[in-house]
Amino acid sequence: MCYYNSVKVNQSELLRLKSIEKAIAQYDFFNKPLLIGFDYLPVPVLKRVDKKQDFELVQMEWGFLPSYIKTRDQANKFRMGYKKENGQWQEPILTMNAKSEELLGERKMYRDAALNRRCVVLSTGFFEWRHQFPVSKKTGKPLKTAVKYPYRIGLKNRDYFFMAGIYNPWKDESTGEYVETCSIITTAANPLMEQIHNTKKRMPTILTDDLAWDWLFGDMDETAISNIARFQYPANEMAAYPVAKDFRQAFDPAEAFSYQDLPELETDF
Amino acid sequence: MNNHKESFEIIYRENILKVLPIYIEKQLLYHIQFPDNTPPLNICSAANFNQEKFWTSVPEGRQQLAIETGLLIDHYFTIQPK
Repeated sequence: MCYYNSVKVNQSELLRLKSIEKAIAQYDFFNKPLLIGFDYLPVPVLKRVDKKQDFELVQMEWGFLPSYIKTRDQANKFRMGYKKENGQWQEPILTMNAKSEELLGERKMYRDAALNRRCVVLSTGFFEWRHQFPVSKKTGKPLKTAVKYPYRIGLKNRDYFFMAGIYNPWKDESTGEYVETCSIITTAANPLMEQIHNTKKRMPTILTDDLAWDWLFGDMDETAISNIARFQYPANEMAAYPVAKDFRQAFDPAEAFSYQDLPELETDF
Repeated sequence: MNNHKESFEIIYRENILKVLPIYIEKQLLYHIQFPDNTPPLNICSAANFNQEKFWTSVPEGRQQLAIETGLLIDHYFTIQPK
């Protein structure tokens, strides 16, 4: 006789519920807001189920690992940089973001994934730094060193939204560890994001519901993939506000914070 | 089982709870978020030994809450226009 939550169930039902339970235990983001941070953290991702028009919610490691990386040690060096045998420093290769403009270039690392393994990253908001150059009291000119203010950016009237992504299944050949790793596509900043991410002028490719559907299931040629990858979400449908500089350590990283010297963002788009 | 994939809200004891339908292992679950410090709850529909439907929390341990919120989810879908 089997019981689940004190209700008598048959054996197959118990196995089904236990399998769901086991799967849930792997999804630690269920107990957190779906916030995008800065580290190689697990992120919630919608992935197409086989070749059907259905998707499942999975957890992926943020930071695309190409298949030629064979072990976790190599992956750490790839992401963090390392000192080569000749003493030179090998710069890290950052793969948390993939530029839409370069996605499909010949021999590009992301090309195969963009053609065959597209996904949608779920987010409730993301953070970006705005650089402000204070004016020198002596010279009246802007100082060379910027003061950085973090912003939390999201969509108006949406609790969560979709970002275009690509993924790669990856296996550590020495331990057998298997993960799916992903990268979020970026596009040119819209008028809101130009003011916030004012050094690089980039933003994640945020998708409408229809575009997210096409990105996952669309039978698209390279032009169509490229067009969606470059999609710029309308600035007037986005919302942004400053947060505390130590927001990463805060209990609620999304809590608004007011800075006296920080000019307001222009919102008349 | 419905094919609803967008989040919605239910009112439980005068609080608005957010409900997110999710598929895990090809099974439909409802992830419920509370406005206070109550930990999020995952519930799904199951069949008892007599093949009657019941709502259960996953993992086990919050059965009463699963029953009460599950009934509100049933009600939500009942009143949705077809």
